[in-house]
Amino acid sequence: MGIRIENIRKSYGTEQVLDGVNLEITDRSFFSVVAPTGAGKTTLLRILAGIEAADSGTVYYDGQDMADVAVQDRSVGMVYQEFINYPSLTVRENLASPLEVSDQNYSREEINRRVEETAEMLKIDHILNNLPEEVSGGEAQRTAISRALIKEPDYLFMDEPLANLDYKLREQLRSDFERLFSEQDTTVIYATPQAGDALAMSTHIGFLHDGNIIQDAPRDEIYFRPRHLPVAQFLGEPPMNVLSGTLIEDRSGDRFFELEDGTRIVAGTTGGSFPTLSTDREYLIGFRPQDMVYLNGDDPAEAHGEKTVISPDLAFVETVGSTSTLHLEYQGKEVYALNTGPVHMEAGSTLSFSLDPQKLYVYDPETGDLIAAGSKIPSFSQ
Amino acid sequence: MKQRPWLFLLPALLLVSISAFIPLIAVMNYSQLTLLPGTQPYFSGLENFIAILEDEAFRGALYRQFIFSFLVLITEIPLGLGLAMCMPKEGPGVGVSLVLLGIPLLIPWNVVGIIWRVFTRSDIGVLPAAFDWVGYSYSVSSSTADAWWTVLAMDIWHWTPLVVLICYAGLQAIPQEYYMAAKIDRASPWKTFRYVTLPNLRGVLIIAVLLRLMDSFKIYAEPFVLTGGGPGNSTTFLSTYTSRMAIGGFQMGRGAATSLIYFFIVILLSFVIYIVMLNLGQGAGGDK
Repeated sequence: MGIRIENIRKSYGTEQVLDGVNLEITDRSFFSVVAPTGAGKTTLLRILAGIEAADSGTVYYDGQDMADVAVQDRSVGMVYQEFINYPSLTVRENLASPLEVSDQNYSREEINRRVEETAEMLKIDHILNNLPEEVSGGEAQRTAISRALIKEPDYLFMDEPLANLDYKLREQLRSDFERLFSEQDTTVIYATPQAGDALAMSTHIGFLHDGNIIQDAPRDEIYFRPRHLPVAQFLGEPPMNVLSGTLIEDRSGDRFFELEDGTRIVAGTTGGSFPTLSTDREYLIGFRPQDMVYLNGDDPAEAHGEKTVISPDLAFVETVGSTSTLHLEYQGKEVYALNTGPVHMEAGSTLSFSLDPQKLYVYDPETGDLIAAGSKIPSFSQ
Repeated sequence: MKQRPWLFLLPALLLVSISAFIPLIAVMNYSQLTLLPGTQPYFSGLENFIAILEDEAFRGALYRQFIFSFLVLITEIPLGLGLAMCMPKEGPGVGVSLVLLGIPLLIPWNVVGIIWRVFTRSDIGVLPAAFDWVGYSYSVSSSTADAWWTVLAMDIWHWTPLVVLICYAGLQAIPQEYYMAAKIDRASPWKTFRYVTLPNLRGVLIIAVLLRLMDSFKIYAEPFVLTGGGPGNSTTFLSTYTSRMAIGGFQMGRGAATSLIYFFIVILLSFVIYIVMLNLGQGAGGDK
């Protein structure tokens, strides 16, 4: 059944943070609420958990209206950006504390068994006798997550739990989460501004924009079919490239998007791709950085058939881990391309990339809605 | 140019040496001399120290000092913390309560003494009149108990606000998430206080306790103005004793030796309390 919310509104002073949010989160899913910092993710999570009351709207758990159920009477756990553990209790005592104050009267053996099990699951069994201040940030957060999980709550809310960890620890915890929650019955609701985190772990993603969830869908669907421009540009690291161009059909029936400088991006033939688009109209053309194929020394004019070649200037290269992001400049706009492995290229040089028209996205310049997508982009039945 | 940093430190160093280091060294020097008016000073080694430690009046003052400081701490710290927890967290009430609390701190010691001296005067004072009304004969100049609790009340009135301000700042710095976590754990208000508020306040409480300990050891003006250390010697604390010895009794050497012993006691006590508080309640799983 899961969580369902209807028409949730919340404002602080004159600022409308949530403006009629509707959402359904199915049981046992890993649902990420993704949005830039300050968009209201934390507020939404707190309302869902029952820590904060909405101005209006209803929250249902398994179909039951939760308005009169206080947070401590719900089966929820909460993990925050800060590592929240009782400072004067050891890790073991911290893990045991939710069980000890519970009205279910767990026996000493039961508590010990659960502490050991949970600690092992989150790989903190070697620090059980330490104080929270004596362990590393990653371990402190693992302790906080264990504290939240030990009561086996139906719903676990996590508010940017990886934000205060360094890069390596994030990666580690991220892969642990994936493994952990695919085995658990717990439904996870996870708020993050990091598209990468959400795409790595979630089963479902909801994108919060201007006080509303503008798209929520299974992970692959929202990634491959972002229905609105903000979703497309936010979900993806680096973001989707967007150029604006006019759709033109020449006498032979070939269609292309003509950019401001006259460059033509092939859109296929009549009846080919994008048959529904009308010509002589302006569109926003989106393409993922990884779909820009670098033409290393190949003759750009030759053998690319239907594909378009664009030639931006290289601004600089950013190498993270084993992937290089090429920051390019094209018609005064920033465009990104990906390259596996570190590269050595001169800044300022002009590079050539080919684009597959079947991997293009077309957005409406006025509404920002997706109106067409290339045939090589996976589609999902609605 | 390697010496340049020292150049910038020089003014501060000069100030500290003139105000602290040099006087302290001078006192160390005096403490080993016999200095009596009209005679040549001469070196007498540890004689001054021995004489003081054997002096009944000194032991009495020290004993009273310990009791006084103990009472000050066990009243002002819990009271200050309690008041801080009652204060509003936001809204216009914050400014109002902070200003009200700040007022006693702005009043100089001797003025506090004079105010309370007027309060306690048998002819025009409000306290004797009030107690007379309920049938109790109140007098700071004849009753030891009255003198004691009046001096204590003065100190509590004057300095609890400092503890409140320190605790309030500390409380504001505790992330709300701790309280939410405790709530989700169904922790009782007492357990929330014991396992969330107190441990997170450890640092500021140490500062509050040390400040109040050192300050209460220095209490001088209040009993001096109120009772002059009486009745008898009952409100004579270490500072009163020291100044009497040095200035009233013209025994500068002994006075210097008393100050050093006094200084040593304060440092030692502060250190012990600091260490104890730093380790108090860590991993306290036993007493849940």
